[in-house]
Amino acid sequence: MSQPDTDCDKDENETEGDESSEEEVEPKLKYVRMANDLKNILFSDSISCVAVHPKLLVVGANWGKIYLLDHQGNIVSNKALKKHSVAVNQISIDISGEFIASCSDDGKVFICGLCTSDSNQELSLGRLVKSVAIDPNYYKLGSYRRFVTGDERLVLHERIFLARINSTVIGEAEGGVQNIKWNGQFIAWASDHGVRVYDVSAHTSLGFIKWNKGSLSKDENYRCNLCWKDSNTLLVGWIDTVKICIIRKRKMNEMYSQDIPNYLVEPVSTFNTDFIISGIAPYGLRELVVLGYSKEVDDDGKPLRPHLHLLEPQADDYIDMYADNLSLRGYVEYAANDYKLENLSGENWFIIVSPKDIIIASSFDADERVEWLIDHCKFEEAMTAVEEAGRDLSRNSLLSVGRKYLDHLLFAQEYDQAAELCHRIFGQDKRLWQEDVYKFASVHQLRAVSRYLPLKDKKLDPHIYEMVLYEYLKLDSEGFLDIVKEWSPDLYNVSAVVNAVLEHLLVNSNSNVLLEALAILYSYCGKYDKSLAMYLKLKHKGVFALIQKYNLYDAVVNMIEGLMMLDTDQAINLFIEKAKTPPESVIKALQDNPHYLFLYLDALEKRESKVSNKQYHGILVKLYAKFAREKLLPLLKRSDNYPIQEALNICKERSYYPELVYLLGRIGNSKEALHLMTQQLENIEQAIVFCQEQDDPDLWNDLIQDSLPRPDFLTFLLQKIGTYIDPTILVKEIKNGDKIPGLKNSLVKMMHDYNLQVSIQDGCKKILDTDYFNLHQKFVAMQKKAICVDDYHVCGACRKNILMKDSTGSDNILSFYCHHLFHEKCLTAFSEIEKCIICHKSSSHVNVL
Amino acid sequence: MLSLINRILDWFKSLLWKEEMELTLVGLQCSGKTTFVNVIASNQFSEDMIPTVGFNMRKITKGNVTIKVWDIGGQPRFRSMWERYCRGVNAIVYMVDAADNEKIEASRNELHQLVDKPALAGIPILVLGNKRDLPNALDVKELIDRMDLVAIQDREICCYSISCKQKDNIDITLQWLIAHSKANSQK
Repeated sequence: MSQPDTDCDKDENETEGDESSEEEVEPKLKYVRMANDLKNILFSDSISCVAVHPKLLVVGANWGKIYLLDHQGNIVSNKALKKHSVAVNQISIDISGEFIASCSDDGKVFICGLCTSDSNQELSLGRLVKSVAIDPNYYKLGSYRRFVTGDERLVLHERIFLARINSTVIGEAEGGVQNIKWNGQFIAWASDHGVRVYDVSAHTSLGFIKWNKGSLSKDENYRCNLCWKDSNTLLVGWIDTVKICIIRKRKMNEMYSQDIPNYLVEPVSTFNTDFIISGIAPYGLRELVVLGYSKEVDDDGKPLRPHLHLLEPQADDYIDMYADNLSLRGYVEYAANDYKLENLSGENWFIIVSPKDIIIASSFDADERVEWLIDHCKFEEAMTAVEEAGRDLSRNSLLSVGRKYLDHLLFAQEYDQAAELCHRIFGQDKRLWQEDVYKFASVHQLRAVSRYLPLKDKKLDPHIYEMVLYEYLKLDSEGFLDIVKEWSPDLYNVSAVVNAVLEHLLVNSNSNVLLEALAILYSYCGKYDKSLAMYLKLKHKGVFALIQKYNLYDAVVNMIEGLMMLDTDQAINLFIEKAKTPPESVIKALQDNPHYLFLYLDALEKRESKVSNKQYHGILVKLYAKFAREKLLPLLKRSDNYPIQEALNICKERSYYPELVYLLGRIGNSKEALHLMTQQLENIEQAIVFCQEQDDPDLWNDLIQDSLPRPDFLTFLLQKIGTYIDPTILVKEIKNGDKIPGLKNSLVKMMHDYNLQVSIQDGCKKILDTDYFNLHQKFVAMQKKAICVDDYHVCGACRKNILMKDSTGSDNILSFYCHHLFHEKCLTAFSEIEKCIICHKSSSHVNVL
Repeated sequence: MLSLINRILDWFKSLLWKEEMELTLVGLQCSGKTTFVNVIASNQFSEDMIPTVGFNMRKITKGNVTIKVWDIGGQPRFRSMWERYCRGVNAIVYMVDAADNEKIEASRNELHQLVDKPALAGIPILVLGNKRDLPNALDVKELIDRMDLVAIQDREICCYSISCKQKDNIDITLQWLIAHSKANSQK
């Protein structure tokens, strides 16, 4: 619970905050002591009563004077208000703020117009007028200019026709009228025994709420505090009991008589407090503000400070939500009745009055709430409050609060949080960032904020990024590298940073991390050669990405071996990719490192088998022979771009017989090849295949000769050879006495194979014969067909129609099997002609006419 | 007896035709608010006025219209009260010293702050550029420009250049005010 200290010596307009050591509850109300002219008034006088209006404050004083003030305590001096001769008991003001009514123990009641004095009234009632209430609508034209006064009776005064005043007694009060509050058509008033409500329009009393005063009232006469919360809710706080009453229309079933008033007063909530109530007012929709006067006294028997409570009423109880102790001037002197609480309906605005002091309590507006939270270092809450309040704030903004929060966090060394906050409050605003980022610089914590700096659309000034980089450079090399990688180089001046790094390296040499960063930086500023060199020095694989990214294939030439050493696969890929690097230079560079050369050429060979690569096959043969024999033979077979003799030598040297066999076969030295197969490889099968490919009887002989000493070869040969050559050759060669394993089977197979061959030959012959006869028969049949001779046929000799139209010169016609026709006369000595002269032109010796 | 009859006649007349309006007069100190009230109330101009402390409350009858004027002090310490006095009135009259070039900016800021208050939404505003009789006083156009009145879009706003001293344009100002009285503005 907070304990605001309204010390008199404090600055006059200061908010009544407090500095208690406990965890503080966010205050609901702020307090401002009224000053200005009021101070002067109170110097010589003291307050007996007040009336409030949204625009005015009317103060009645103990010496009978009435002061018109504004809400800051300035006297509004354009009207001299009439003075009572003794203390003013009560003042009432209408809702327009134009008319006030006042009463006093001098028996007078004044009605005073603040704008015009036309309707000023002065009544002398000759009794102690304890209270007065003016019709809230008094100012209205056509109103009856009504007001009520309370002494021993409650009297309604109204102006009737011809400006006469009519006074009606509307109630007798036992022990005098204590308080009157007029609201709309209802007047609430309190006598010694309870509270009544009078309906002005119906001229009837609505009911009486009897007050159980308990034992306290025997010593002292406590004032009844009345307050209209709204048009039909009356708050009553009397001694230590609060009643909330509602005025409602009677329902039909409750209208059991004609004379009963339409309205009904009903308490809806009643509860007791543990303090004396000096004033009551509504707060918000449900809560109440109650000015409490402690029943206890201090050690010297003096009263304690009054306190302001914020209560939430229940049906017969209440929840004390919040309370403040108030240090009103001279509180030790005053009794409960000396304090008063007035409010402005609809606003959470309260005025707490003691004879020598006025304090205005009002709920915090959004700005003040935010400021309180800031003052109490509850920045997170303040930020939330700002975000919630939105446009209602006039003095604070997300930015202003955020900046304070930022300073706080920086002070508290919560740098990460501070950096995140920057992101939240500055967003992408360049100007704001630039203004505040220095705060991080001064504590060397730019690193924290670096993650949040805007990098894309709204770039900050380059030097800010540079500052961050320098800081990283000094304090966090790894971070420097990361940030260099992450940030686009157009954010900052690369060459400046490069220089800084170089300088730094002079001091702390050989930091690989920094060298890498330097390499990246070099690449950013276009010095790729330096960058590459740096990478190579570091043996960093980033070099490949760099080359690819910036197309640095030309520069590669100088560092081929280095790259190979760094990462062979990537390097080879790089060299081969897009054929940007000429193979000659690679080969040249790798001359001394055959393994790399092998890897490269192998990859090159795999990648593309264009003509251009074939020139390296010679080298490749050597390399394959050395490093990858399995690839050698395919290459030898595939390619013909290598010096065979050299290959041969290599193979011989290394005793690579299969390759040797192939090469020998290739250069035509099949004899030696065969010999190798049988002698070195002992692969008779291959030898047979080889002989078969070469199809050379001599070779077969050689094979047989070579096989003779080896019985197992012979077996094999016997089995296979029958398909290819006459097995007798082989059989003849076998010497008597030689042992041949599986001879029987081999011989059977051989014979069988040979037999098969012979039968195939027979079969083929038969097929051919049949074909011949069939075709001949077909031909003869064709030739036996009839020949048609018509106009279109011409004589093969004279080229005239064979059929002559005039029968005079008609001639015999000769026809051959070949269907050529001739006139008899055109062929001389036809009887000698055996063949058609057309078909046998060349050999013909016939004269054509 | 005669006076009694007159009063009765007045009363009847008032019942039949009288219209009422309430307006609040704000603006920086020394712009001529109280002077303006005096001029429209009694047609009296006085050069030397003491600064208003707090506020003045005046009721002026022009024809059948009764105008209740809250004339609020313009010094900085009173400005926090402006909003309170402007609540619920028929019109806000904002007085500007058109001849005081240095204070125009402050005046503009105060006006816009006032206009931004949610409680005052929709209340018509009449901006008066006073002291047009002085040399180098801004004319209406310049005033609208300097005060950035175009930015105030959510309500009726009007601007006149007047002179309380020479009683320039006081008549059109009154006409505007009367047109915004309760009865008229309800139409």
